[in-house]
Amino acid sequence: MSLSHRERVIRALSHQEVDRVPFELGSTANSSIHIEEYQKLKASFGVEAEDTILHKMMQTAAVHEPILQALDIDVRGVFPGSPDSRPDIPVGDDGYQDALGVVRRKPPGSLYYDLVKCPLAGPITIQDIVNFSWPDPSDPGFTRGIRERLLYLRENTDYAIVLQLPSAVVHTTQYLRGFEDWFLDLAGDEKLAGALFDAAVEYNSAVAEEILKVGGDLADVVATADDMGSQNGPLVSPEMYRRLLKPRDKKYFDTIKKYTKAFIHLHSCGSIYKLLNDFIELGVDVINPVQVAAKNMDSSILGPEFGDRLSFWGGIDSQHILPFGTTEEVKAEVKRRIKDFAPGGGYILGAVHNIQPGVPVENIIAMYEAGKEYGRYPITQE
Amino acid sequence: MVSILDELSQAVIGGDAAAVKESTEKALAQGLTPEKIFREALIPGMDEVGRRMEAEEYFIPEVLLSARAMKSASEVLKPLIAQSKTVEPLGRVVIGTVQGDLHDIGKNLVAMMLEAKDFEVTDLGIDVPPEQFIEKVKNTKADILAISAMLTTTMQKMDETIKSLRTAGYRENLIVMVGGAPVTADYSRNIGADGFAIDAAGAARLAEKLITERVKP
Repeated sequence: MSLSHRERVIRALSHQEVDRVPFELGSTANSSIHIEEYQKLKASFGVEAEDTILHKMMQTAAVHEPILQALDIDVRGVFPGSPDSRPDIPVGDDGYQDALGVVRRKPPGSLYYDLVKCPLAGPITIQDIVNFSWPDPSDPGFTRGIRERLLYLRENTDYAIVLQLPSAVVHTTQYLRGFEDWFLDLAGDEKLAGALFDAAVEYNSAVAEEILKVGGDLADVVATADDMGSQNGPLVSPEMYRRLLKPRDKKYFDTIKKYTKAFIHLHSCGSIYKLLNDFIELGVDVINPVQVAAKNMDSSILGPEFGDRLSFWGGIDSQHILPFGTTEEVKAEVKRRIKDFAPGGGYILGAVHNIQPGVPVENIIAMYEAGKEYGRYPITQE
Repeated sequence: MVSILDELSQAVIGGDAAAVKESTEKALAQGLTPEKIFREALIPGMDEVGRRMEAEEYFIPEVLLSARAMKSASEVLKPLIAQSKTVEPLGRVVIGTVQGDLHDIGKNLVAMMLEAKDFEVTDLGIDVPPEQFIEKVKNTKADILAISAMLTTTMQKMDETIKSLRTAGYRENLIVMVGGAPVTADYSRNIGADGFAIDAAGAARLAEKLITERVKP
Protein backbone atom coordinates (compact mmCIF):
# COMPACT_ATOMS: atom_id res chain seq x y z
CA MET A 1 0.00 0.00 0.00
CA SER A 2 1.47 3.34 -1.01
CA LEU A 3 0.20 5.92 1.42
CA SER A 4 0.78 9.62 1.13
CA HIS A 5 2.45 11.20 4.15
CA ARG A 6 -0.81 12.94 4.97
CA GLU A 7 -2.88 9.77 4.82
CA ARG A 8 -0.36 7.97 6.98
CA VAL A 9 -0.56 10.63 9.69
CA ILE A 10 -4.33 11.07 9.55
CA ARG A 11 -4.96 7.35 9.79
CA ALA A 12 -2.42 6.97 12.58
CA LEU A 13 -4.16 9.76 14.53
CA SER A 14 -7.45 8.01 13.82
CA HIS A 15 -6.01 4.97 15.60
CA GLN A 16 -5.60 2.88 12.52
CA GLU A 17 -2.56 0.80 11.70
CA VAL A 18 -0.86 1.98 8.51
CA ASP A 19 2.32 0.97 6.69
CA ARG A 20 4.79 2.44 9.15
CA VAL A 21 4.91 4.71 12.18
CA PRO A 22 4.93 8.36 10.98
CA PHE A 23 7.86 10.63 11.81
CA GLU A 24 8.04 14.13 13.23
CA LEU A 25 10.76 16.78 13.07
CA GLY A 26 10.19 20.50 12.99
CA SER A 27 6.43 20.78 12.54
CA THR A 28 6.03 22.49 15.91
CA ALA A 29 8.31 24.82 17.88
CA ASN A 30 8.54 22.12 20.58
CA SER A 31 9.47 19.18 18.34
CA SER A 32 12.32 20.56 16.29
CA ILE A 33 15.97 21.23 17.15
CA HIS A 34 18.01 23.89 18.95
CA ILE A 35 19.76 26.21 16.51
CA GLU A 36 23.23 25.34 17.80
CA GLU A 37 22.64 21.60 17.50
CA TYR A 38 21.08 22.14 14.08
CA GLN A 39 24.41 23.36 12.69
CA LYS A 40 25.80 19.85 13.24
CA LEU A 41 22.79 18.22 11.60
CA LYS A 42 23.04 20.59 8.64
CA ALA A 43 26.74 19.84 8.26
CA SER A 44 26.13 16.11 8.25
CA PHE A 45 23.67 16.54 5.38
CA GLY A 46 25.80 19.10 3.54
CA VAL A 47 23.11 21.78 3.85
CA GLU A 48 24.43 25.34 3.91
CA ALA A 49 21.26 27.43 3.64
CA GLU A 50 20.42 30.30 5.99
CA ASP A 51 18.66 29.50 9.25
CA THR A 52 15.20 30.51 10.44
CA ILE A 53 14.35 30.65 14.12
CA LEU A 54 10.92 29.16 14.85
CA HIS A 55 10.85 30.23 18.47
CA LYS A 56 13.10 32.97 19.81
CA MET A 57 12.87 32.11 23.52
CA MET A 58 13.81 28.46 23.02
CA GLN A 59 16.12 29.17 20.05
CA THR A 60 14.37 26.49 18.02
CA ALA A 61 15.43 26.20 14.37
CA ALA A 62 13.32 25.42 11.33
CA VAL A 63 14.65 22.34 9.50
CA HIS A 64 15.42 22.64 5.79
CA GLU A 65 13.54 20.56 3.23
CA PRO A 66 16.47 18.36 2.07
CA ILE A 67 16.93 17.08 5.62
CA LEU A 68 13.21 16.56 6.22
CA GLN A 69 13.00 14.61 2.98
CA ALA A 70 16.12 12.58 3.67
CA LEU A 71 14.67 11.53 7.04
CA ASP A 72 11.23 10.97 5.44
CA ILE A 73 9.45 13.27 7.91
CA ASP A 74 5.69 13.08 7.40
CA VAL A 75 4.59 16.43 8.79
CA ARG A 76 5.16 20.12 8.00
CA GLY A 77 4.34 23.06 10.25
CA VAL A 78 2.79 26.45 9.63
CA PHE A 79 3.41 29.12 12.24
CA PRO A 80 1.60 32.37 13.02
CA GLY A 81 3.58 35.60 13.20
CA SER A 82 3.82 38.29 15.86
CA PRO A 83 1.75 41.47 16.02
CA ASP A 84 3.07 44.25 13.75
CA SER A 85 2.13 46.85 16.35
CA ARG A 86 4.34 45.29 19.05
CA PRO A 87 7.74 44.36 17.62
CA ASP A 88 10.41 42.97 19.96
CA ILE A 89 12.48 45.70 21.62
CA PRO A 90 16.16 45.02 22.42
CA VAL A 91 17.05 45.31 26.11
CA GLY A 92 20.68 45.64 27.14
CA ASP A 93 23.31 43.53 25.43
CA ASP A 94 21.63 40.19 25.64
CA GLY A 95 17.88 40.71 26.09
CA TYR A 96 14.59 41.71 24.51
CA GLN A 97 11.08 42.74 25.45
CA ASP A 98 8.30 40.91 23.64
CA ALA A 99 4.79 41.87 22.48
CA LEU A 100 3.35 41.35 25.97
CA GLY A 101 6.03 43.43 27.68
CA VAL A 102 7.90 40.41 29.04
CA VAL A 103 11.68 40.86 29.22
CA ARG A 104 14.08 37.97 28.69
CA ARG A 105 17.86 37.62 28.66
CA LYS A 106 20.26 35.12 27.17
CA PRO A 107 23.48 35.56 29.19
CA PRO A 108 26.77 34.31 27.69
CA GLY A 109 26.88 30.54 28.03
CA SER A 110 23.10 30.14 28.07
CA LEU A 111 21.20 28.46 25.26
CA TYR A 112 17.84 30.14 25.71
CA TYR A 113 16.24 33.43 26.60
CA ASP A 114 15.15 33.32 30.22
CA LEU A 115 12.55 35.37 32.04
CA VAL A 116 13.89 38.39 33.89
CA LYS A 117 11.08 40.90 34.10
CA CYS A 118 7.33 40.31 34.14
CA PRO A 119 4.93 43.20 33.58
CA LEU A 120 2.36 41.96 36.11
CA ALA A 121 4.68 40.64 38.82
CA GLY A 122 4.57 41.78 42.44
CA PRO A 123 1.69 43.26 44.44
CA ILE A 124 -0.91 43.87 41.75
CA THR A 125 -4.69 44.14 41.94
CA ILE A 126 -7.48 42.98 39.68
CA GLN A 127 -7.61 46.54 38.37
CA ASP A 128 -4.06 46.15 37.03
CA ILE A 129 -5.24 43.07 35.16
CA VAL A 130 -8.26 44.89 33.81
CA ASN A 131 -6.04 47.77 32.69
CA PHE A 132 -3.44 45.54 31.03
CA SER A 133 -2.97 46.41 27.40
CA TRP A 134 -3.03 43.30 25.22
CA PRO A 135 -1.99 43.42 21.58
CA ASP A 136 -4.92 43.63 19.16
CA PRO A 137 -5.89 40.05 18.19
CA SER A 138 -6.83 41.25 14.72
CA ASP A 139 -3.29 42.56 14.11
CA PRO A 140 -2.39 41.35 10.60
CA GLY A 141 1.04 40.25 11.84
CA PHE A 142 -0.53 37.18 13.42
CA THR A 143 -2.11 35.81 10.25
CA ARG A 144 0.01 37.17 7.40
CA GLY A 145 0.94 34.45 4.91
CA ILE A 146 -0.72 31.60 6.81
CA ARG A 147 -3.39 30.76 4.25
CA GLU A 148 -0.91 31.04 1.38
CA ARG A 149 1.52 28.70 3.10
CA LEU A 150 -1.23 26.19 3.94
CA LEU A 151 -2.55 26.24 0.36
CA TYR A 152 0.98 25.76 -0.99
CA LEU A 153 1.52 22.70 1.21
CA ARG A 154 -1.92 21.30 0.40
CA GLU A 155 -1.60 21.75 -3.35
CA ASN A 156 2.07 20.96 -3.89
CA THR A 157 2.97 18.37 -1.27
CA ASP A 158 1.46 15.35 0.36
CA TYR A 159 2.63 16.12 3.89
CA ALA A 160 0.34 16.29 6.92
CA ILE A 161 -0.01 19.91 7.97
CA VAL A 162 0.29 21.18 11.54
CA LEU A 163 -0.98 24.69 12.25
CA GLN A 164 0.48 26.26 15.41
CA LEU A 165 -1.90 28.10 17.73
CA PRO A 166 -1.15 30.28 20.79
CA SER A 167 -0.69 28.64 24.18
CA ALA A 168 -3.89 28.24 26.19
CA VAL A 169 -3.40 30.01 29.52
CA VAL A 170 -0.53 28.69 31.67
CA HIS A 171 2.46 29.95 29.68
CA THR A 172 0.98 33.38 29.04
CA THR A 173 0.04 34.02 32.64
CA GLN A 174 3.32 32.65 34.02
CA TYR A 175 5.30 34.99 31.78
CA LEU A 176 3.14 37.98 32.69
CA ARG A 177 3.03 37.35 36.42
CA GLY A 178 6.34 35.66 37.00
CA PHE A 179 6.57 32.05 38.12
CA GLU A 180 6.77 32.65 41.85
CA ASP A 181 3.78 35.00 42.03
CA TRP A 182 1.84 32.73 39.67
CA PHE A 183 2.17 29.81 42.08
CA LEU A 184 1.52 31.98 45.13
CA ASP A 185 -1.67 33.38 43.58
CA LEU A 186 -3.00 29.88 43.02
CA ALA A 187 -2.51 29.01 46.65
CA GLY A 188 -3.35 32.32 48.26
CA ASP A 189 -5.34 34.62 45.96
CA GLU A 190 -7.57 32.61 43.67
CA LYS A 191 -9.59 35.64 42.65
CA LEU A 192 -6.51 37.37 41.30
CA ALA A 193 -5.28 34.19 39.63
CA GLY A 194 -8.69 33.63 38.07
CA ALA A 195 -8.93 37.18 36.80
CA LEU A 196 -5.57 36.85 35.07
CA PHE A 197 -6.47 33.45 33.61
CA ASP A 198 -9.72 34.83 32.23
CA ALA A 199 -8.01 37.81 30.63
CA ALA A 200 -5.30 35.61 29.10
CA VAL A 201 -7.68 32.99 27.74
CA GLU A 202 -9.86 35.69 26.24
CA TYR A 203 -6.84 37.13 24.42
CA ASN A 204 -5.42 33.77 23.33
CA SER A 205 -8.84 32.59 22.17
CA ALA A 206 -9.28 35.75 20.10
CA VAL A 207 -5.89 35.30 18.45
CA ALA A 208 -6.56 31.58 17.88
CA GLU A 209 -9.88 32.49 16.27
CA GLU A 210 -8.16 34.85 13.82
CA ILE A 211 -5.63 32.17 12.89
CA LEU A 212 -8.27 29.47 12.53
CA LYS A 213 -10.46 31.71 10.39
CA VAL A 214 -7.69 31.84 7.80
CA GLY A 215 -6.45 28.28 8.19
CA GLY A 216 -8.65 26.02 10.30
CA ASP A 217 -10.12 24.35 7.23
CA LEU A 218 -6.72 23.52 5.73
CA ALA A 219 -4.81 22.08 8.67
CA ASP A 220 -4.76 18.40 9.54
CA VAL A 221 -3.56 19.10 13.08
CA VAL A 222 -3.77 22.24 15.20
CA ALA A 223 -1.13 22.47 17.93
CA THR A 224 -1.34 24.35 21.19
CA ALA A 225 0.68 24.24 24.39
CA ASP A 226 0.43 24.60 28.15
CA ASP A 227 3.07 23.08 30.43
CA MET A 228 1.28 21.42 33.32
CA GLY A 229 3.92 19.00 34.58
CA SER A 230 7.30 18.90 36.24
CA GLN A 231 9.68 15.97 36.46
CA ASN A 232 7.86 14.42 39.39
CA GLY A 233 4.22 15.37 39.05
CA PRO A 234 1.77 18.00 37.89
CA LEU A 235 2.72 21.60 38.64
CA VAL A 236 -0.43 21.99 40.70
CA SER A 237 -2.69 19.41 42.32
CA PRO A 238 -5.21 17.80 40.00
CA GLU A 239 -7.95 19.22 42.22
CA MET A 240 -6.56 22.73 41.75
CA TYR A 241 -6.16 22.19 38.00
CA ARG A 242 -9.80 21.15 37.71
CA ARG A 243 -11.06 24.01 39.81
CA LEU A 244 -8.99 26.92 38.51
CA LEU A 245 -7.42 26.02 35.19
CA LYS A 246 -9.65 23.50 33.50
CA PRO A 247 -12.61 25.87 33.04
CA ARG A 248 -10.30 28.28 31.23
CA ASP A 249 -8.79 25.47 29.15
CA LYS A 250 -12.34 24.42 28.26
CA LYS A 251 -13.09 27.89 26.96
CA TYR A 252 -9.95 27.77 24.81
CA PHE A 253 -10.53 24.29 23.43
CA ASP A 254 -14.20 25.04 22.76
CA THR A 255 -13.07 28.01 20.66
CA ILE A 256 -10.68 25.78 18.71
CA LYS A 257 -13.36 23.16 18.10
CA LYS A 258 -15.73 25.83 16.80
CA TYR A 259 -13.38 26.72 13.94
CA THR A 260 -11.70 23.50 12.90
CA LYS A 261 -12.19 19.77 12.64
CA ALA A 262 -8.44 19.16 12.74
CA PHE A 263 -6.90 16.90 15.35
CA ILE A 264 -6.08 18.86 18.49
CA HIS A 265 -2.47 18.46 19.60
CA LEU A 266 -1.54 19.58 23.12
CA HIS A 267 2.05 20.11 24.15
CA SER A 268 2.65 19.72 27.87
CA CYS A 269 6.02 18.96 29.37
CA GLY A 270 6.47 16.82 32.45
CA SER A 271 4.50 14.34 34.45
CA ILE A 272 0.88 14.88 33.39
CA TYR A 273 -0.41 11.33 33.81
CA LYS A 274 -2.86 12.51 36.46
CA LEU A 275 -4.38 15.08 34.08
CA LEU A 276 -4.69 13.01 30.90
CA ASN A 277 -8.34 12.09 31.44
CA ASP A 278 -9.09 15.77 31.89
CA PHE A 279 -7.37 16.63 28.62
CA ILE A 280 -9.29 13.89 26.83
CA GLU A 281 -12.49 15.39 28.21
CA LEU A 282 -11.53 18.78 26.79
CA GLY A 283 -11.17 17.29 23.32
CA VAL A 284 -7.41 16.79 23.10
CA ASP A 285 -6.54 14.12 20.51
CA VAL A 286 -2.75 14.16 20.67
CA ILE A 287 -0.28 14.56 23.53
CA ASN A 288 3.25 15.88 23.00
CA PRO A 289 6.17 15.61 23.84
CA VAL A 290 5.41 12.65 26.10
CA GLN A 291 8.22 13.14 28.59
CA VAL A 292 8.74 9.44 29.19
CA ALA A 293 11.43 9.92 31.84
CA ALA A 294 9.05 11.90 34.05
CA LYS A 295 7.04 10.21 36.79
CA ASN A 296 4.22 7.90 35.61
CA MET A 297 4.94 8.84 32.01
CA ASP A 298 6.67 5.69 30.82
CA SER A 299 5.30 4.37 27.54
CA SER A 300 4.55 1.02 29.19
CA ILE A 301 2.02 2.86 31.38
CA LEU A 302 0.64 5.37 28.89
CA GLY A 303 0.32 3.07 25.88
CA PRO A 304 -1.91 0.41 27.41
CA GLU A 305 -3.97 2.82 29.49
CA PHE A 306 -4.56 5.66 27.05
CA GLY A 307 -3.56 4.33 23.64
CA ASP A 308 -7.10 3.93 22.43
CA ARG A 309 -8.11 7.49 23.34
CA LEU A 310 -4.96 9.53 22.82
CA SER A 311 -2.26 9.68 20.20
CA PHE A 312 1.31 10.16 21.36
CA TRP A 313 3.61 12.52 19.48
CA GLY A 314 7.28 12.30 20.51
CA GLY A 315 8.28 9.79 23.16
CA ILE A 316 11.96 9.10 22.38
CA ASP A 317 13.74 9.91 25.63
CA SER A 318 15.86 13.02 25.43
CA GLN A 319 16.94 13.26 29.07
CA HIS A 320 19.18 10.19 29.06
CA ILE A 321 19.17 8.15 25.85
CA LEU A 322 19.46 10.69 23.04
CA PRO A 323 22.24 12.77 24.58
CA PHE A 324 24.18 10.07 26.43
CA GLY A 325 23.27 6.74 24.83
CA THR A 326 25.09 4.79 22.16
CA THR A 327 23.41 4.43 18.78
CA GLU A 328 22.53 0.88 19.83
CA GLU A 329 20.81 2.21 22.93
CA VAL A 330 18.91 4.76 20.83
CA LYS A 331 17.68 2.00 18.56
CA ALA A 332 16.64 -0.10 21.53
CA GLU A 333 14.77 2.92 22.92
CA VAL A 334 12.92 3.40 19.63
CA LYS A 335 12.06 -0.29 19.49
CA ARG A 336 10.68 -0.16 23.03
CA ARG A 337 8.55 2.97 22.52
CA ILE A 338 7.14 1.60 19.27
CA LYS A 339 6.21 -1.61 21.03
CA ASP A 340 4.30 0.38 23.68
CA PHE A 341 2.74 3.14 21.57
CA ALA A 342 2.39 1.96 17.99
CA PRO A 343 0.01 -1.02 18.04
CA GLY A 344 -3.43 0.19 17.06
CA GLY A 345 -1.99 3.33 15.51
CA GLY A 346 -1.79 6.57 17.44
CA TYR A 347 1.96 7.12 17.53
CA ILE A 348 4.01 9.78 15.76
CA LEU A 349 7.70 9.21 16.44
CA GLY A 350 10.12 11.95 17.44
CA ALA A 351 12.39 13.15 20.22
CA VAL A 352 10.88 14.30 23.49
CA HIS A 353 10.97 18.05 22.86
CA ASN A 354 13.51 19.98 20.77
CA ILE A 355 16.77 18.14 20.14
CA GLN A 356 19.37 19.87 22.28
CA PRO A 357 23.07 20.65 21.84
CA GLY A 358 25.16 17.72 22.95
CA VAL A 359 23.09 15.06 21.21
CA PRO A 360 25.42 13.19 18.86
CA VAL A 361 24.19 13.57 15.27
CA GLU A 362 24.55 9.78 14.85
CA ASN A 363 21.88 9.38 17.51
CA ILE A 364 19.42 11.56 15.63
CA ILE A 365 19.98 9.53 12.45
CA ALA A 366 19.79 6.27 14.42
CA MET A 367 16.45 7.32 15.89
CA TYR A 368 14.83 7.65 12.47
CA GLU A 369 16.60 4.60 11.04
CA ALA A 370 15.30 2.53 13.93
CA GLY A 371 11.89 4.05 13.34
CA LYS A 372 11.94 2.63 9.84
CA GLU A 373 13.32 -0.70 11.00
CA TYR A 374 10.96 -1.34 13.89
CA GLY A 375 8.02 0.80 12.86
CA ARG A 376 6.63 -1.33 10.04
CA TYR A 377 3.12 -2.57 10.68
CA PRO A 378 2.10 -5.02 11.92
CA ILE A 379 4.36 -4.35 14.91
CA THR A 380 5.84 -7.72 15.77
CA GLN A 381 8.18 -7.86 18.72
CA GLU A 382 8.95 -10.74 21.01
CA MET B 1 -6.69 23.73 74.26
CA VAL B 2 -4.27 24.26 71.41
CA SER B 3 -0.90 25.59 72.48
CA ILE B 4 0.39 28.72 70.83
CA LEU B 5 3.21 26.70 69.28
CA ASP B 6 0.76 24.23 67.71
CA GLU B 7 -1.31 27.16 66.47
CA LEU B 8 1.78 28.67 64.87
CA SER B 9 2.85 25.38 63.32
CA GLN B 10 -0.59 24.86 61.81
CA ALA B 11 -0.58 28.38 60.42
CA VAL B 12 2.71 27.65 58.65
CA ILE B 13 1.33 24.39 57.25
CA GLY B 14 -1.81 26.22 56.17
CA GLY B 15 0.22 28.96 54.48
CA ASP B 16 -1.51 31.74 56.43
CA ALA B 17 1.08 34.52 56.63
CA ALA B 18 -1.10 36.87 58.69
CA ALA B 19 -1.90 34.17 61.24
CA VAL B 20 1.77 33.18 61.39
CA LYS B 21 2.84 36.74 62.16
CA GLU B 22 0.09 37.12 64.78
CA SER B 23 0.86 33.80 66.48
CA THR B 24 4.58 34.57 66.49
CA GLU B 25 3.96 37.88 68.23
CA LYS B 26 1.61 36.19 70.69
CA ALA B 27 4.23 33.55 71.45
CA LEU B 28 6.86 36.21 72.11
CA ALA B 29 4.40 38.09 74.31
CA GLN B 30 3.92 34.90 76.31
CA GLY B 31 7.63 34.90 77.00
CA LEU B 32 8.74 32.17 74.60
CA THR B 33 12.20 32.62 73.17
CA PRO B 34 12.79 32.98 69.42
CA GLU B 35 14.90 29.84 69.55
CA LYS B 36 12.05 27.83 71.09
CA ILE B 37 9.59 29.21 68.59
CA PHE B 38 11.84 28.17 65.69
CA ARG B 39 12.58 24.76 67.08
CA GLU B 40 9.14 23.78 68.33
CA ALA B 41 6.81 25.48 65.87
CA LEU B 42 8.40 26.74 62.68
CA ILE B 43 10.76 23.87 61.97
CA PRO B 44 8.16 21.15 62.64
CA GLY B 45 5.72 23.15 60.49
CA MET B 46 8.08 23.30 57.52
CA ASP B 47 9.09 19.66 58.07
CA GLU B 48 5.44 18.73 57.70
CA VAL B 49 5.23 20.86 54.54
CA GLY B 50 8.26 19.01 53.21
CA ARG B 51 6.70 15.68 54.07
CA ARG B 52 3.49 16.62 52.26
CA MET B 53 5.51 17.75 49.23
CA GLU B 54 7.28 14.40 49.08
CA ALA B 55 3.96 12.58 49.57
CA GLU B 56 2.50 14.55 46.63
CA GLU B 57 -0.17 16.10 48.82
CA TYR B 58 1.34 19.54 48.53
CA PHE B 59 2.39 20.92 45.17
CA ILE B 60 4.43 24.00 44.35
CA PRO B 61 1.66 26.53 45.15
CA GLU B 62 1.08 25.18 48.65
CA VAL B 63 4.79 24.82 49.40
CA LEU B 64 5.58 28.36 48.27
CA LEU B 65 2.70 29.75 50.25
CA SER B 66 3.87 28.00 53.42
CA ALA B 67 7.41 29.15 52.80
CA ARG B 68 6.16 32.73 52.44
CA ALA B 69 4.15 32.38 55.63
CA MET B 70 7.23 31.06 57.42
CA LYS B 71 9.15 34.05 56.20
CA SER B 72 6.75 36.40 57.95
CA ALA B 73 7.69 34.68 61.22
CA SER B 74 11.41 34.84 60.60
CA GLU B 75 11.08 38.54 59.75
CA VAL B 76 9.77 39.08 63.29
CA LEU B 77 12.26 36.75 64.94
CA LYS B 78 15.51 37.39 63.10
CA PRO B 79 16.10 40.93 64.44
CA LEU B 80 15.55 39.59 67.97
CA ILE B 81 17.98 36.74 67.39
CA ALA B 82 20.54 39.15 65.97
CA GLN B 83 20.22 41.33 69.07
CA SER B 84 20.58 38.46 71.51
CA LYS B 85 24.16 37.42 70.84
CA THR B 86 23.78 34.31 72.99
CA VAL B 87 21.83 32.56 70.28
CA GLU B 88 24.02 31.23 67.52
CA PRO B 89 22.43 30.03 64.32
CA LEU B 90 22.73 26.35 63.50
CA GLY B 91 25.15 27.41 60.79
CA ARG B 92 25.90 30.08 58.21
CA VAL B 93 24.98 29.42 54.62
CA VAL B 94 25.80 31.23 51.42
CA ILE B 95 23.44 30.27 48.59
CA GLY B 96 23.09 31.28 44.96
CA THR B 97 22.45 30.26 41.38
CA VAL B 98 25.55 29.90 39.19
CA GLN B 99 26.84 32.31 36.60
CA GLY B 100 24.81 32.45 33.40
CA ASP B 101 21.78 30.87 35.06
CA LEU B 102 18.74 32.99 35.89
CA HIS B 103 16.55 30.43 37.63
CA ASP B 104 15.80 30.79 41.30
CA ILE B 105 12.48 29.44 42.55
CA GLY B 106 13.97 26.17 43.76
CA LYS B 107 16.93 27.98 45.24
CA ASN B 108 14.59 30.44 47.01
CA LEU B 109 12.65 27.53 48.49
CA VAL B 110 15.86 25.96 49.76
CA ALA B 111 16.90 29.28 51.32
CA MET B 112 13.56 29.59 53.11
CA MET B 113 13.68 26.02 54.37
CA LEU B 114 17.23 26.53 55.62
CA GLU B 115 16.11 29.62 57.52
CA ALA B 116 13.29 27.59 58.99
CA LYS B 117 15.92 25.19 60.29
CA ASP B 118 17.63 28.13 62.00
CA PHE B 119 20.46 28.60 59.54
CA GLU B 120 21.62 32.12 58.82
CA VAL B 121 21.29 32.42 55.07
CA THR B 122 22.93 34.90 52.72
CA ASP B 123 21.27 34.66 49.33
CA LEU B 124 23.40 35.98 46.47
CA GLY B 125 20.59 35.61 43.94
CA ILE B 126 21.13 34.51 40.35
CA ASP B 127 23.97 34.64 37.83
CA VAL B 128 26.66 34.47 40.53
CA PRO B 129 30.27 34.10 39.35
CA PRO B 130 32.61 31.81 41.34
CA GLU B 131 34.59 34.78 42.71
CA GLN B 132 31.45 36.26 44.23
CA PHE B 133 30.61 33.00 46.01
CA ILE B 134 34.13 32.83 47.43
CA GLU B 135 34.11 36.48 48.53
CA LYS B 136 30.85 36.02 50.44
CA VAL B 137 31.95 32.71 52.00
CA LYS B 138 35.03 34.56 53.26
CA ASN B 139 33.10 37.58 54.56
CA THR B 140 30.36 35.70 56.35
CA LYS B 141 32.64 32.90 57.58
CA ALA B 142 30.13 30.53 56.04
CA ASP B 143 29.90 26.90 57.10
CA ILE B 144 27.97 25.85 54.02
CA LEU B 145 28.00 26.93 50.39
CA ALA B 146 24.84 25.87 48.56
CA ILE B 147 25.00 26.15 44.77
CA SER B 148 22.06 25.85 42.40
CA ALA B 149 21.89 25.39 38.64
CA MET B 150 18.97 24.61 36.40
CA LEU B 151 20.71 24.08 33.08
CA THR B 152 23.15 21.40 32.00
CA THR B 153 25.14 24.15 30.30
CA THR B 154 25.58 26.21 33.45
CA MET B 155 26.07 23.42 35.96
CA GLN B 156 29.72 23.26 34.93
CA LYS B 157 30.12 26.45 36.91
CA MET B 158 29.60 24.35 40.03
CA ASP B 159 32.78 22.44 39.20
CA GLU B 160 34.58 25.71 38.51
CA THR B 161 33.41 27.18 41.81
CA ILE B 162 34.65 24.21 43.82
CA LYS B 163 38.01 24.29 42.02
CA SER B 164 38.30 28.03 42.71
CA LEU B 165 37.52 27.42 46.39
CA ARG B 166 40.35 24.90 46.50
CA THR B 167 42.80 27.24 44.84
CA ALA B 168 41.85 30.05 47.19
CA GLY B 169 42.28 27.74 50.19
CA TYR B 170 38.65 27.82 51.31
CA ARG B 171 37.51 24.32 50.35
CA GLU B 172 38.69 22.42 53.39
CA ASN B 173 36.63 24.07 56.11
CA LEU B 174 33.52 24.45 54.00
CA ILE B 175 30.56 22.17 53.34
CA VAL B 176 29.53 22.41 49.69
CA MET B 177 26.04 21.32 48.65
CA VAL B 178 24.68 21.32 45.11
CA GLY B 179 21.23 21.01 43.64
CA GLY B 180 18.98 21.79 40.71
CA ALA B 181 17.22 20.02 37.89
CA PRO B 182 20.23 18.59 35.97
CA VAL B 183 22.28 17.78 39.09
CA THR B 184 22.70 14.16 40.10
CA ALA B 185 24.38 12.36 42.97
CA ASP B 186 27.02 11.15 40.50
CA TYR B 187 27.77 14.65 39.30
CA SER B 188 27.93 15.91 42.84
CA ARG B 189 30.49 13.22 43.72
CA ASN B 190 32.51 13.79 40.57
CA ILE B 191 32.99 17.46 41.27
CA GLY B 192 33.84 16.82 44.91
CA ALA B 193 30.76 18.36 46.53
CA ASP B 194 29.83 17.16 50.00
CA GLY B 195 26.22 16.57 49.28
CA PHE B 196 23.31 16.82 46.92
CA ALA B 197 19.52 16.76 47.40
CA ILE B 198 16.70 16.45 44.90
CA ASP B 199 14.37 18.96 46.53
CA ALA B 200 14.18 21.74 49.08
CA ALA B 201 13.01 19.55 51.94
CA GLY B 202 15.86 17.14 51.29
CA ALA B 203 18.34 20.00 51.06
CA ALA B 204 17.33 21.40 54.43
CA ARG B 205 17.58 17.96 56.06
CA LEU B 206 20.96 17.34 54.44
CA ALA B 207 22.35 20.68 55.57
CA GLU B 208 21.30 19.93 59.12
CA LYS B 209 22.86 16.46 58.96
CA LEU B 210 26.14 17.66 57.45
CA ILE B 211 26.60 20.47 59.92
CA THR B 212 25.78 18.44 63.02
CA GLU B 213 28.09 15.65 61.85
CA ARG B 214 30.88 18.11 61.28
CA VAL B 215 30.69 19.83 64.66
CA LYS B 216 31.86 17.07 66.95
CA PRO B 217 30.87 17.62 70.58
